Amino acid sequence: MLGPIRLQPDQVAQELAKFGEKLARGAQTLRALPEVHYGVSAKEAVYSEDKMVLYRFTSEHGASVPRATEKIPLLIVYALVNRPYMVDLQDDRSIVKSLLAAGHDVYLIDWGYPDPSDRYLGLDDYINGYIRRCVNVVRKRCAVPAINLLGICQGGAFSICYTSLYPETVHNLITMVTPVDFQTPDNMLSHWIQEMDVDAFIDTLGNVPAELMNWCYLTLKPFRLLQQKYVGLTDILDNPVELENFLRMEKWIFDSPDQAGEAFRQFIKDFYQGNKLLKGGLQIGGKKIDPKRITMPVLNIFAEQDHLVPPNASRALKGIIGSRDYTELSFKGGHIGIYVSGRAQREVPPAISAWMKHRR
Amino acid sequence: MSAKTKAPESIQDWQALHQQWWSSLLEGAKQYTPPAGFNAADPLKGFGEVFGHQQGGQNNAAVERFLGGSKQFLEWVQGLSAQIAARGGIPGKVDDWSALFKQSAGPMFEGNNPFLHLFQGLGSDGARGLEQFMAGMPNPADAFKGEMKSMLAMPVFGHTREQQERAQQLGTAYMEYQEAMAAYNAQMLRASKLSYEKLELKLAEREEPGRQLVSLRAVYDLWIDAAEDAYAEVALSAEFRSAYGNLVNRQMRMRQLMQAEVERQTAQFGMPTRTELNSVHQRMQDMRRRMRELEDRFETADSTAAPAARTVAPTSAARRKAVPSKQKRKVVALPVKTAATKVAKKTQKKVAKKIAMKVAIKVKPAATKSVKPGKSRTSKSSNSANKSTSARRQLNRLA
Repeated sequence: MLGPIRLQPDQVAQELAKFGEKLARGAQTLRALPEVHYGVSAKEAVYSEDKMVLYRFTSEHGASVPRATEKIPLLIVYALVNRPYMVDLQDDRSIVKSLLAAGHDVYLIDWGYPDPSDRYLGLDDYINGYIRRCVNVVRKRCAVPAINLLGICQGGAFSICYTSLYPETVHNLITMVTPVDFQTPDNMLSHWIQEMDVDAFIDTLGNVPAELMNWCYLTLKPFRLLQQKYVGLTDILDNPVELENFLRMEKWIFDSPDQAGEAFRQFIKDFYQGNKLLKGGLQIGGKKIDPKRITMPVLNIFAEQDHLVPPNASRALKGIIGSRDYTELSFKGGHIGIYVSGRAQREVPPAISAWMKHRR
Repeated sequence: MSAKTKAPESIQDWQALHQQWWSSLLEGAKQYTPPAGFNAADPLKGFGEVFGHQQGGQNNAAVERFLGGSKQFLEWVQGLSAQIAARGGIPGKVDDWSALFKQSAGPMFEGNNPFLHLFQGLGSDGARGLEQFMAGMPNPADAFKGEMKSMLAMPVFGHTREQQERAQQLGTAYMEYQEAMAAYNAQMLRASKLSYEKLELKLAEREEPGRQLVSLRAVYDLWIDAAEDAYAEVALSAEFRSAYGNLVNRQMRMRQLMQAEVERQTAQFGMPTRTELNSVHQRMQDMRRRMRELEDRFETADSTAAPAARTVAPTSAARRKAVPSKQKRKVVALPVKTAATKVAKKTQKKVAKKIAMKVAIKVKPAATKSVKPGKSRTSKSSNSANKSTSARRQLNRLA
């Protein structure tokens, strides 16, 4: 039987020399790189309220994007915990761009960056307030009674709540990496939160600082995300395109808004600790959430290697809604890869587009 | 490796490598980085100077994280090469490798738990968590914990009674937080120990022919895999959940008490406090909600008035056609004032009022001002319009 490791001193010396070269060159290259840009599709603000802005992606971006041919517009509801430009990150990694190219009229809610004056924004304000009014704005602009709604991650949970409250305004519901069962055994984040006194947490911190949120996410896989990822960066330092992609992702990961305290408190208590979206008993602004009222077609997309929203957390949607037209799309990738990987660009937007076109 | 870069060729044994590994690294780096800052006695101390020169204002978070991760990797290399050099060569068996990894991490990681080291080493401004709060601050109560606890439970009295009580509460909270942190660290230590069991299993798989690891990076990646597997197992345990929850809760308790104390002090100097601001923000949010509610009501009134207008118009036109003369209408209408006609008239008035409101809302403020109540034939409607305009103005003021 051979030993598991066969290192030779001269080979190790060469490896270290190579690493040193890459490290020095990398530090130099990184410093010299211009700031990366993100968000490629042209868009216009069509409505705003407080720090929230509703955008409509326009069709002026490039000659390849035609005018919207689909009558029913699509509104994207992103999570509160990161910035929504992830859906339109860069030219070759943009769900929005693909949907525009397929003839869809795409709108997006940008929640902005809450500051301490937004501490008392609750889920009622977000769901019965902002989302409802944005949906109404889009309905009026497009003169349609109901629109297509695409909720992503936490935004998906909000979209489920919204749709169960105002089903007449939603033509098709699409959820992407959306947790429904918040207490699956593999959900590490949920596991940690269960014994946390969220009242004391919010009463002390007010808004939840973005840095604390980021730290929490990083400590889900600390060795990979805090160390190995950056050691691995040396491998792509001589590839400017890859490097720019890496930096763009870094920008997105750490460009996080603080979380409005009251909304966070309610979300943790009712969704994570109470698991009420699955079990029942959830109320938003005193209005009962009954997912059985979701009877329109539903497309549920989730990622098989998602460590933030495990697949089973998303799959639970099927069991709580009233729709008979339910479709699942299982993507081979992780929580972030589902927006930005090459495979995602090939698989996800075309699937969403085809599914919606089939249900005009 | 580029053609320019050449590793020192004299390194044929592990002892030489351990003495010169930094030179090997610099050999590769020198074409990009001036050698200034090299510290032969402790090369890792010079890491920042060699690779992080020209940082300062030009530096950004990505470079910081990149160099931080690389430095930890190199620390790992240093520990490993020291152990290999001390043994005079690389081990052959899995058990020996496992022992070597443990030794390179320190005496059972008590003072050098790689898990905690990882968290503390990268706790920059962009990544500061619960673990770093008050990190590095000594716990004065450690030396005489039992005595301190009983002192903190003693009754307080006299002129400064309240102040003493608050100090006791803060002292107790601080000690409880330290205990929670110790329990959390114990969980991290558990993960560290488990990671070596996981590593042994992974190394055993690599004994099969053709699966041997032949580079430092491959060994490092395997070590990371083992560490992540162990951490995940511990982090999903009931003990960790309890330790984590306790750490958060006790830290919040201590922060609350500290914040309250800071508030008391700053309030004495006339500074605005968090409580005061919270109160303002809460009122502001209530006002926002009420404003949105009013806007919703206006919108609903608009949408209900519109269809009503459509139904009223043909009715009045039809009435004009149906009633040929005033006399006839009087004859018919006057004596028969049934409940139904009363309701109908009230409904007509309401609808007219709603239409007037709708018109008033759409009229620009300047145009609305020019309407003089009482002089117009539609004075009642104008009054209603003015009322709704005034409500609009109130809304605008709120906004």
